Amino acid sequence: MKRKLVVGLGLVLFIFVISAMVVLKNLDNIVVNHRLINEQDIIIGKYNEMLFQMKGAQAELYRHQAGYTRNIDDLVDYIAAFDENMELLSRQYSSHLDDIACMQCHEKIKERLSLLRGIFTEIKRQIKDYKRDVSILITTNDSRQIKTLEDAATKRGNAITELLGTVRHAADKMREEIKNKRNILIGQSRSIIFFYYIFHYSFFYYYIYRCNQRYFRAYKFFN
Amino acid sequence: MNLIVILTMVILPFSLMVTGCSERETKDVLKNEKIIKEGTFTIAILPEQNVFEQKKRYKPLAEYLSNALNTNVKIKLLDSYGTIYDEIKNRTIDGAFFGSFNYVLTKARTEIEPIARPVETGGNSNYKGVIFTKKGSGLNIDIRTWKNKKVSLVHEVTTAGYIFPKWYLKKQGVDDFENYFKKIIFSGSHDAAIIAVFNGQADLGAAKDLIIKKVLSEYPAIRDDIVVLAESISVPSNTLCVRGDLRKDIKLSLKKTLLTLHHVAQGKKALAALNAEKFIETSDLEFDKLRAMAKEIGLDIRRYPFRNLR
Repeated sequence: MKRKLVVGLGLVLFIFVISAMVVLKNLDNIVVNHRLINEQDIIIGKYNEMLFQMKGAQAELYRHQAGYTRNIDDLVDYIAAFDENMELLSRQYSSHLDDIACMQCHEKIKERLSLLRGIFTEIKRQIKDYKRDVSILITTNDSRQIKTLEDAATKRGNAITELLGTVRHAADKMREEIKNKRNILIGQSRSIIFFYYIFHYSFFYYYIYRCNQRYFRAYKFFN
Repeated sequence: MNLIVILTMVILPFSLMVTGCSERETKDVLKNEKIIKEGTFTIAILPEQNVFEQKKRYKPLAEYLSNALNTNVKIKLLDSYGTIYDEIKNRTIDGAFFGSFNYVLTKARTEIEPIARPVETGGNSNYKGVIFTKKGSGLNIDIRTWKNKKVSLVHEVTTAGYIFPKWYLKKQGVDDFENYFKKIIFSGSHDAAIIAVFNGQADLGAAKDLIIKKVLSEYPAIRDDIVVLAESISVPSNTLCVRGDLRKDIKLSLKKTLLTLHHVAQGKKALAALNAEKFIETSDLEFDKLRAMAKEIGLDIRRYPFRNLR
């Protein structure tokens, strides 16, 4: 009886250790995923902000070109803020490119982040050209130059907006994937804890039952 | 034995539960100190080069002056060299970094006071106007090769980008500057005038030597492709001038702050953004050679239009 009890307790302890390890590992992943979801929320917020800034800049440019205003500070401020956000996002994604923890679980993450980096490089190139074109456009007197640059600025503005839309869509998708993964891990941990409880209490009730049986047998013997 | 079993049975499930419920808390302490300053001091900036770069260059200076003068120093970008006079006249700005010819014209019509101007890294506080072309354009220092070509200038109220080429051709015997060329493009800024030549939109151009150096350092590929055809005398680079009706103590305080900028760590940062070593005092007399140049081409600085329209 005593040996059976020790083996049983050992089994309970063993299952407990395994369950705890899995739950702790999941917890770590859940925390990391949660952090990533928060990060993605910020990034998506930034994309929306950048879209607003680009469209705001375009609107200011049209206002200026149409002769409604001579103020160019707002236009310049929109683009400066856009640049700042762009730098921030680039840094944010670059920090994950060398993140070994990410690479261990997701083989495709490097590919995806590299793709995003490519899009960022393209946006940066476009915005550099956009700034050059717009700067000349708002100062030049030459009607031919104005026409050419207006078209170029509109095209570049639209291209930047489209590229932003693409990365925003990708960020949305990544966020959903991370969220799903986090929910799976939460569910897995819950199941492990639940099944452990079932096993644990089954063993506990079995032990009480066996003790009681012995007690009843002794009671019968003395009476 | 029973005690061990019971303890194990009670503690284990709870410990697993506690592990599952643990939470990581992060506390961010945000220090958000805002000092509210009274009043605004607006300084206008000419579009001598890319307006986005201009704002970036002057932002640290505005921040430094805001703290030093305990007022909100605001940078206002202008879209044309011609608007500066109206802004001063309408009192929408308190001061501006005037181009040399802009200063001469404005000073002839309203009271403005030169405060200081930056000394570029390398010790230069003046600039020269440069007439240039692209290698292989077939143009040379003989102005006859320039006839009926497309020229890219900056604006009618700039020394390097209009007055100097006009003066230079006048000296060479050309009185009808406007009709000497097939087309004159006013690009509105010095870098745009340079880009127009290298893009093939113009055959020759005129701009500030400081901006040419800057553009060439940004685009090393075209460094050897530029051919200088003529150079002007040195004139003071963009000078911070303030409205004459401003309080004397404000003017003095501004001058003192600018002239001591290179002694302060934060000031050095502002100077670095401007690519300057320090600010030096500027007097009205330094612009006399430009006034003489304007006189030589028969230009009445009291009547010459600012050509504010785009």
